Amino acid sequence: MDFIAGGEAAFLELFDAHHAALFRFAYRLTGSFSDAEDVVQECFLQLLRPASSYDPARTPIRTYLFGVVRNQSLKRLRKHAPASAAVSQVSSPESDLLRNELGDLVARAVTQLPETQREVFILAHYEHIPLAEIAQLMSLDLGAVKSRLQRARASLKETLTAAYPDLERKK
Amino acid sequence: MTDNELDEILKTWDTPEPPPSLRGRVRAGFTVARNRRPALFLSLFLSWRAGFSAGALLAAAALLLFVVQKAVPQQAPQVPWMVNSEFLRYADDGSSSVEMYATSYNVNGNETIWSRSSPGNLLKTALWQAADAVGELHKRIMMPENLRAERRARAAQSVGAITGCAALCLAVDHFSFLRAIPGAITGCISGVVLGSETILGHRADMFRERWTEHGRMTLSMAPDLGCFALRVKYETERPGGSFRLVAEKRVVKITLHQ
Repeated sequence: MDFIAGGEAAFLELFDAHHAALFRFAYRLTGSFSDAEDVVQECFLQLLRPASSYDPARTPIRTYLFGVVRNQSLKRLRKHAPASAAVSQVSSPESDLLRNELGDLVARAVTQLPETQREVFILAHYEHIPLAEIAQLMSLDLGAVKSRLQRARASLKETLTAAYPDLERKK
Repeated sequence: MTDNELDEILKTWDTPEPPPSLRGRVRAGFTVARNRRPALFLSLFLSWRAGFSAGALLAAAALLLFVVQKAVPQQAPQVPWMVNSEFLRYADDGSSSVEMYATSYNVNGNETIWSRSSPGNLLKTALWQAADAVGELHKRIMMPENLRAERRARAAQSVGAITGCAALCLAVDHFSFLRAIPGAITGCISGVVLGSETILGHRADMFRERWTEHGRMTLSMAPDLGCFALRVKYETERPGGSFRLVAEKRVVKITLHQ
């Protein structure tokens, strides 16, 4: 598909429709603001290259874009040492601090999930991508996606239940 | 914890908004891509000319470097040991061929190439050496100090292994893995030890990592050699769920410098 021929306005419309979700996904996978920024930029610029593999007849654009972000993020994680969970640095009132602390705890728990479960979980839970679309994006069957999601939730429950009493005491 | 309670807690992980500058950069990328698009005949001409020029330049650089290296041999680094490895590529029918030979050593847990060669292909070997020399020069002279410092900091936290060829073998693939917490039973890197094997008299613990969405990498790391990866196997997943070996790094000799 020729995105250049489609014109700048159409291309920016595509960007506006998808970049926020793609950025959140990249950020949650890489744990890095600058990596997420680079990954999303690269993802859109890749569409403009003559060698772009995007084929609208085979894949919806959103699925394709999430696939590119996923691959680019994992590539960065593997090239460098895995980033630790993204930790908030916001200073705020006490209730916000507790929320930040909980958020950090959640970030760490999700980051510690096995890679295969983490991707499925973030896409399904945080981005509300239908499971069938996740299956297509990750070249898995639907059953495998469901089982990875269930395992991820069970694992998170266990991790967060173990950690949550500490936070309760701090309230 | 109920499902609802879990969902409530999960909501607390916020992400920052993407920076507004991102749109501007993508827009600029669009403009560049549009302006760079030449007519088809021009494109073919340019690619032929660029390819020819680049090839000629590379060949000249390789020849020069090859001559210089033959005339002035490099001094070996002062390291306790060096290893010789072969990098194999497997065809669909299971047959294998050696893609690259390499000599490398360990610097704080990170494998560093000393030299490498292509089996029976002097031109390729010279090209690779030229590419390595240019890469090293770029790292030492062109790369900003803050970026080098960042890389050093990352390297200190990780165990790195050369895992194969990249970009037509003009570069090597180097993967880093988060170093295990000191005293952890996992030993070398964070992850589950699948088992262990003995390679050239050294115990090597096996770890498995995802490679691509359809593949996996199994590393055998020797704790007594600073977690050096003595074997790396790449496998890709078949549609049925089984795995096929596609590439392998094997250490064939360890030379101790005592």
